[in-house]
Amino acid sequence: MTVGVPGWIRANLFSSPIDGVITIVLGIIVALAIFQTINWVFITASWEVVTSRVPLYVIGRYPQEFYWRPETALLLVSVLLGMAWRLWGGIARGFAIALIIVTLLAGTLPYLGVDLGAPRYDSTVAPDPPAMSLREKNRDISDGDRANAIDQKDITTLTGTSYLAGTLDGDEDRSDYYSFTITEAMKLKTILAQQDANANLFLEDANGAVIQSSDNSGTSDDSITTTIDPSTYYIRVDSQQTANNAYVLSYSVTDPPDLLVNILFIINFLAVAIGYGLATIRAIGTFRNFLILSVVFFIVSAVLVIGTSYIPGLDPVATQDLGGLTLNLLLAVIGIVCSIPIGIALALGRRSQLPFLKYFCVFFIEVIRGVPLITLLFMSRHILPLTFPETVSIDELYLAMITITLFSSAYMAENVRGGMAAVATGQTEAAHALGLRGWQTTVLITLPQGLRNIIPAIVGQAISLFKDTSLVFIIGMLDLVEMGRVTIQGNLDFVDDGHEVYIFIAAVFWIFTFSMSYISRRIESALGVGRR
Amino acid sequence: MTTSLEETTVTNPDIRNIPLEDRDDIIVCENVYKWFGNFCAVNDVTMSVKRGEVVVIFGPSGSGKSTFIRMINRLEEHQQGKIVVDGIEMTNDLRNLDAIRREVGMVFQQFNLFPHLSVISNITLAPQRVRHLPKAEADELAMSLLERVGIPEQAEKYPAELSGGQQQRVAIARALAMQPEIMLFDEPTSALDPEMIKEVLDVMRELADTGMTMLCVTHEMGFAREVADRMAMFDEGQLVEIDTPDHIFTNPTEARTQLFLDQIL
Repeated sequence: MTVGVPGWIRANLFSSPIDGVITIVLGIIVALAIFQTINWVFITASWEVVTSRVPLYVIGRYPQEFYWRPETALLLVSVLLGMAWRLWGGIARGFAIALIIVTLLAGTLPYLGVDLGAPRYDSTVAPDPPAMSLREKNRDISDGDRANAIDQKDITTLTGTSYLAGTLDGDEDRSDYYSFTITEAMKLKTILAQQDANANLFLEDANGAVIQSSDNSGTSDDSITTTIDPSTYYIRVDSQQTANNAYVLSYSVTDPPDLLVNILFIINFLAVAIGYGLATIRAIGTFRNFLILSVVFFIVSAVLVIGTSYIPGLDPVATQDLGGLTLNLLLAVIGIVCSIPIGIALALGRRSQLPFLKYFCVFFIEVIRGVPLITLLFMSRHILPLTFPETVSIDELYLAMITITLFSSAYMAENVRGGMAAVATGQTEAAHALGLRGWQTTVLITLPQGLRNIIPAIVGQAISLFKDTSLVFIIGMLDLVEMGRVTIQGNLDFVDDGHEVYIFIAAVFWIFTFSMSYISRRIESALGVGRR
Repeated sequence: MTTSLEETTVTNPDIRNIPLEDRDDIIVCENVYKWFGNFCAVNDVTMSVKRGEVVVIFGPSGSGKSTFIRMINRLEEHQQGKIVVDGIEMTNDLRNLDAIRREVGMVFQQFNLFPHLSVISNITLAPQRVRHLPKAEADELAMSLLERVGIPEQAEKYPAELSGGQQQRVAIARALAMQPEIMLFDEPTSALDPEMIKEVLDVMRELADTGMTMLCVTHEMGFAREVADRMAMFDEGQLVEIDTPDHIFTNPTEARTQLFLDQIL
């Protein structure tokens, strides 16, 4: 008998010389792979491409003054999550706690000096940055010699992160001056990248007083990130060595941390608590109410995020500004939720005795299922409008929603049909024997059981659809994946960071899809699918 | 408080005292045929059932006995001949079909309870949806039927949580909730463990005492001997003979009946 860890190792890994060799060789390969991975993740990789632009990945270029809207939607979701926690415990509790932690971090990190970026005004994607014009002053003047810092030329109006290259003469007493004027409070972020330079970075006010400085020694980068009020400021690059200093100065301005935005994040736990509290009230905490609230909150959330011209104060958000993970989630949720009723209707139509209805449904289902989603999206954007009058134009966002919903409906219809076909014939016989009419049998007996049969299939479809939403790039929308591509292709800083971006994106998708399949498994076991 | 079946179902115990020949026919079948492809499942069956009569149908498997009783409420469509149930002829007219299905309750071998509904909802579904009974009334009816079949405490459970015998008793209550004139039993005890067969047969026996017209496909010969007014032997789709249990068990006319009884007794 072999006992314990050594025994297990001997029995399973070294039971014969060949096994031993295989174990050792594979062990070395695995160890190397793990080492390489850890080394890359924690040392080689440059995660700034992700960490400096978090809002872009989360919600695209959504206007910051509207951030309260998706955040309110998130609060509604949190209320539901709180209710779910009370009603079912376990799994919902895990998600609620994770959400609370994430939102607390999101709300407090900006005040703890952690910059997650607000790259709405990034030059690669944003058309309208706050007005800021950087003016090059005399170069190579004596330190502090502000009087001589006369405008030399305007540098093109700053759009988001911009760059300028400079060279300081080899004199420790020399500085390059740049000035700019802003008319509203902003967060300034400037980085002095030095190739073979040794220079320090100063931010000074109009009177020459130093507001902040960064004097990392040698050729390490200097950087200043601070929130400043409307005024005129100077950025000074100060030579620290006698050799020539070649440097690149990058600078960007963003809106300062918004109190409302962060408070809405921080109070998220309250929303969870409210939901939990509501569910403890007997009259409210029922599955039925939870479903009704889900539908209501879903509609309210979608209206909040997208906006509508019919409700004052909820201006529609330009389609191009709605992006990132929020877009993926929005499209996937709308696609799945709306495709369930449409899919049921199509499935029932396909089972119908009426030839016209039946063959219409068959035609619709088979055509949609036979065409890749990317083709449908392309056609919806470029071919369908040809059939409309020129005055009619449908926003890309709605085109994407409609297309994805119809696409999903066709698959849903087949799932529903399969689920209903799997219901034992004895069920319909019993219903008929009781005198239920055909449609009553379908609605009361076959459909509910069929839907319960296909919960795993619906979740599978939701997962697949969630991933497929990234195809909306074909009609020019900036979902999470496309945002990553735009970032690395349009941004000199991040040209080499493709690995980091795509690994980050893959991780985000994985977290969501894994959560979905986990929830599905729990629901299945709770409902006893597969048992009779 | 116990509620008796008399209050909850159409019932006429006195009819048991009237001689069979003096009662009217509630089911009349004349030269009924049914084919599945080339296979003749029911072959020229002519028989009638009197009001309040209990007829046990037996015979080897594949003899068409299930198909025959499934034609009484048109779970199977007969292709030739004539079936009249309580004066209503079985035709393609949906109104006739609805009327007949209201008159006829059915209990299946596999119970066929609705697994997504609680026991009480299984019972109240048809009264509410077909007879348009208010929910309170349907609930009351269901509870009294559950008491009658002996499992009122299981009302809120789901079928999967019940034993086979309990499920079959729920199925009987469900059929009775439509207050039918006729009950069809399609091998109601064949899927049950032996110790559960008795509880179902007891319910059926009590039901027979209320004067319910019953057609039972079953191999429970003890039950047949005790409860049945007549027994019908089916073989190869044909009605071989139909007679009183005494006659069938002691002195069957047909050799096939004797042969079959020898095999199972």
